[in-house]
Amino acid sequence: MLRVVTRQNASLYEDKLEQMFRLRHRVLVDIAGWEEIRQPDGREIDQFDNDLTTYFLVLDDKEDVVGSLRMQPSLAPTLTSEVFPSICDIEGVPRSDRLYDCSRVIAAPEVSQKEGQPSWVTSELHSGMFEFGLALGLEGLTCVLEVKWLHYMKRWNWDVRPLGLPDSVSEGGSVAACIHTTAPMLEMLRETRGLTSPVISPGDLGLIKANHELMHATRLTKLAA
Amino acid sequence: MPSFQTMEFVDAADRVETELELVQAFECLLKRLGISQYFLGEVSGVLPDEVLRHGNWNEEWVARYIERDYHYADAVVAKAKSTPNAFDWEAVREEGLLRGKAKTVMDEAGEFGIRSGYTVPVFQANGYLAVASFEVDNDIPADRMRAALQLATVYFHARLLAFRDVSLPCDAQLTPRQRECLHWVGAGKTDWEIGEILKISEATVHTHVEKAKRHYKVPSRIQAFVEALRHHELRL
Repeated sequence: MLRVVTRQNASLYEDKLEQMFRLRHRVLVDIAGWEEIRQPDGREIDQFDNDLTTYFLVLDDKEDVVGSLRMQPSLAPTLTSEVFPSICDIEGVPRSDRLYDCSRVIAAPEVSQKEGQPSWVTSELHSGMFEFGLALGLEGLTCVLEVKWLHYMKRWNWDVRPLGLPDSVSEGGSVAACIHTTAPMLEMLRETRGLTSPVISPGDLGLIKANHELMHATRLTKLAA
Repeated sequence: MPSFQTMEFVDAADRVETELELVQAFECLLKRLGISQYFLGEVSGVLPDEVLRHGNWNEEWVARYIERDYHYADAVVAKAKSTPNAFDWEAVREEGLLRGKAKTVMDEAGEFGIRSGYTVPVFQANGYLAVASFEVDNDIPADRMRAALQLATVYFHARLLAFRDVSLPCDAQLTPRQRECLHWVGAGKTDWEIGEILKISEATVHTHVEKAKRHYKVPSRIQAFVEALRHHELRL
């Protein structure tokens, strides 16, 4: 079950967000070994966890957080624009009200399957990404990922375009890319992952749209200008 | 300007409609990067021979390499197994990996004009490993070359596999729901019963089972169950 959290409903999800920050630390630091983001309190939080962030939380039967991701409007500072601009060396970091930056896409190790085979948690997150993009009429989602994910996405026939050459320094090579969130892509994803219905509830979709309009009607327009 | 040239190839790779066009676009990029010889192959032995071999290495060298099972001794392959990053063959020399038979392989490659270059560990998952090697003689900085080749190879490999209709061990075979439904098919349950167990409609169960049958190209539900067992998608 996927839940959407924005600043409008964050107060209802305080304990779930707390679980998410701890899961992120476990997956990214303890398991993937990103020592540079290790935190003494075991909660992985950075400057892109702010009141512009939209979270997807995947909950299991016991309502525990077993997967998550976050979205940032690309007109605001994002992980891609602030931390990885050097690998967007084709046309710079793309910014528009029709692009969001997606980061910290994780699933609990307990639910992960074979490498390259998405678990139900990852599939819900992926479907959510496409549903989100379609609901807001986005061009796509930018993100920074290891090169191997680009391989998987091409294997899944996703329409994904790199924003520059990968850096050849980090383990696995980080590459910035834009995933185009089109209706045929969502349809194909549902077909291949066995999803029969949308993972985002109508209520949460309404929240996403209202939040998007509010953000872009106020602060972000100023940022863009 | 390796990034723009690489992007041109990436865009072309998504557009091309035949393997020939893909290869032409790839070789055009390589030419602009100053690469004349390259080879892409699977080195893990999980695919049937020939399914994924492509390139213009000297034919005699390729034949010898295959006949003598040089991939077991090749230091470049050994290194590709240990890193996801593209590397310079110089690194293999510097790391002292060229001993015994590994040195023989490298020396013999040199006799065929393959002396300096880069290798991209294309893709590694669940025992599958493909490697692309490029013989390079130019003055583009090594890190830019490695990055360009790593990115271009993602698109080349993905499209080549698609044109040749190759499936990999890491491809999802059945969806989780199809797997669940087949499990109960194996227990002798009807669609209606499975629907009750999984709390989904009988029609949905029917669809899942039909798709699993189509996936394995078998006429009956019990055969689909047996195929799923055979492909280790289900356990008894």
